[in-house]
Amino acid sequence: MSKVSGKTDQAPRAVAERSPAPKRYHTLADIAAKAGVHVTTVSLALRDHPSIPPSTRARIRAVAKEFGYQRDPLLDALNFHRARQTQQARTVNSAFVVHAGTTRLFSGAHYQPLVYAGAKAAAEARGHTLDIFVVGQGHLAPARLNTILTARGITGVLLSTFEIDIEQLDLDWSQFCAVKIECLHLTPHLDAVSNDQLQVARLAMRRLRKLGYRRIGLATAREDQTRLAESFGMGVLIEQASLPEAECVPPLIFSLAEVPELPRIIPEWMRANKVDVIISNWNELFDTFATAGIRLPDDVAFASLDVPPSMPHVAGVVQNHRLVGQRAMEQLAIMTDAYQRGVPEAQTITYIPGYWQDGVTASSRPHRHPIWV
Amino acid sequence: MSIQPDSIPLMPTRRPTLKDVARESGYHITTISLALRDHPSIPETTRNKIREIARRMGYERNPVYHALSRFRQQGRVCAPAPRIAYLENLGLGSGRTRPPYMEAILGGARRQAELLGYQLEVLTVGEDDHDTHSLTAYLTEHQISGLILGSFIPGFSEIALNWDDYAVAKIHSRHMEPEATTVGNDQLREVRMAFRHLAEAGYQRIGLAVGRSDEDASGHRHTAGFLMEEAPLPPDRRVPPLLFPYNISGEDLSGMIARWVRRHHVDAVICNWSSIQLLLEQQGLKVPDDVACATLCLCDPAPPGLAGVRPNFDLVGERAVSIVVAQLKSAQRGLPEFPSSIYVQSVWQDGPSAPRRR
Repeated sequence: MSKVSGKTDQAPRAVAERSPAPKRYHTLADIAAKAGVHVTTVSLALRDHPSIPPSTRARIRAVAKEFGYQRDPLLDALNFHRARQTQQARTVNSAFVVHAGTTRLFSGAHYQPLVYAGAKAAAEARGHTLDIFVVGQGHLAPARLNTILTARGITGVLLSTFEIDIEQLDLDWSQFCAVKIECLHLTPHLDAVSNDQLQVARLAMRRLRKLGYRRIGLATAREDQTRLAESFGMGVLIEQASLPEAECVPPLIFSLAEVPELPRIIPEWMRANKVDVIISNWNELFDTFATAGIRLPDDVAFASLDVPPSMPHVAGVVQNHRLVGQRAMEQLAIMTDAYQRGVPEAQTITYIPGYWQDGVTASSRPHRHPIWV
Repeated sequence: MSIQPDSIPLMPTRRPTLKDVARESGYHITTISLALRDHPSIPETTRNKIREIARRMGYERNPVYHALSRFRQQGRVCAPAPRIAYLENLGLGSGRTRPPYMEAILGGARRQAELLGYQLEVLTVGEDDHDTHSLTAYLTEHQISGLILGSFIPGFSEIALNWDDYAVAKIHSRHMEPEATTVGNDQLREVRMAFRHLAEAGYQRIGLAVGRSDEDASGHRHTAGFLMEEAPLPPDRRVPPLLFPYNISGEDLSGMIARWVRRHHVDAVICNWSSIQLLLEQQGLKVPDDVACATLCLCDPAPPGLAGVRPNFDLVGERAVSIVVAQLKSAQRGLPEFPSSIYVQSVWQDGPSAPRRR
């Protein structure tokens, strides 16, 4: 008996005749077949990848629309889970760009190392690397940085800490996905992540008032006001707007050139305005108090608007610098994945709040006899 | 166009799986699977024991894997497109209509949701709409775990859900719970931008008129920006901001603004109502001859010739959806420890209502 197929009396299965069930929904492969391109081209085109010519992207998008193609959120979520569990085939490199004039801020008690640590941790959690590049005097010129980034295939750029006299950074932004950390003064108007200095100042005012203080004075540098879009000043003004006039202390705004004079300026301002607690982002004021012979908290209380981790005994608001770095990197990673390069049409700014910390420099018991009575 | 979510947790704690429950309870994974589906082949005491352990460990069926296994068995995804609820309290059920700016925000949210494959469902809370109880029941019944609180109006109904059960983003709504990630247009910078444009055009006595309701919902950001712009001026050139009461009628407001303009010799009014020119003219103040005006809320259909700030309302709605989707995708629920505030920037638009002063 022959086992050769076709010799049985059974009719061959009528595969061809059976009409296919209408498809319930269409996949990338259907779009690829119709558009006459490879499925990966469709995938890239629908994600707006710059490597696909704009005309092709438009054509593929039209086919997708005709098919009623929709991204499947469940498969999206599944991809997200899988991507977390498997090693990325390709490492994404991003750049953390700082200005030469600010490199001193990346050591000691300054907050910049915390921002970088937060950003780096977020990058590493995704298998990305984050390298520091320094632009400006004695370091890279912007054009040179542009060349290096392009040569290394780096498309993600975090901009951190530029002094206010640097108003612009000229890179070919159409090549890069970029997020700024603070430095709102710097053009172009990229999406930015910043500490919420307005909330920080308001929180400090409210907590100190609850502790019993009635003459709360802000002391800060004019350069800081400019750099932070006057956020501290606005926080104080908006809180003062709902306080009795007797509690409204005019802020002391000094210039950096006046810093050596502070041991004279601060006591004068304190006396003239009967200040019972000073709020400032200048932790250097401790030196000023020592020089001027001001005793904390007997002569005046002090609350920092940026309590560093090294000063757990100081009262004030702790700013979430790590979280700022983390959020900036997360946003950059999302933009890199979506190929969102260039300067956005509408800028968005993300603010991260700070939190209050009690401390001996502004104890819960105010002066028994407020000095301004 | 920004089509991507904003915040993904750095290291979300891994959710327990069936395997973890098996390890913990000492039963085989198939026993766990059957027990959690209440299969009669597993003794009831065992089922109860396993269910208790699963509950204690915080095991939850992963909707993604569930949908995928249905897909493999039946060749198609059976789970419906996940839904995001867009909550409002403006009293739609009581016959009130959505103002244009709220339409624009909702429009942006809808488009973004569709792009990412989600359904956006508008649900309203209020006297004639859902209360907390019926809303919770509805969300549970329809398995909706993504929520957007869309521009809640202070003084209207509020809700208190168990926020830990949901992925939440707020649009404006700063006057109320929960402390979630909040998206909005940047009233503070908008006021400053308007003030600077008017000052630059030669106006000397610029005034700000905003509703208390909007001021509360924005976290006092209108006046914060205004006070900062006024701070460098000598005291006699400062105009006190006019904060008008909740739910004021157009007629009452018109009179109130006109009296304030006359008393303080205001030469340019910044107002968040786009009907500002009409309100002034109703009281016999000619624009721009007697007083110039600019709105903070240029949004189509906008009155012709009105100068002011044009916020990107669509983008506000888009971003809110992206934030909720990012949380849903990574199976995150509840409120962040430090909720961020995200502000979408706006543009200034010149107009005959505030011409350059001769």
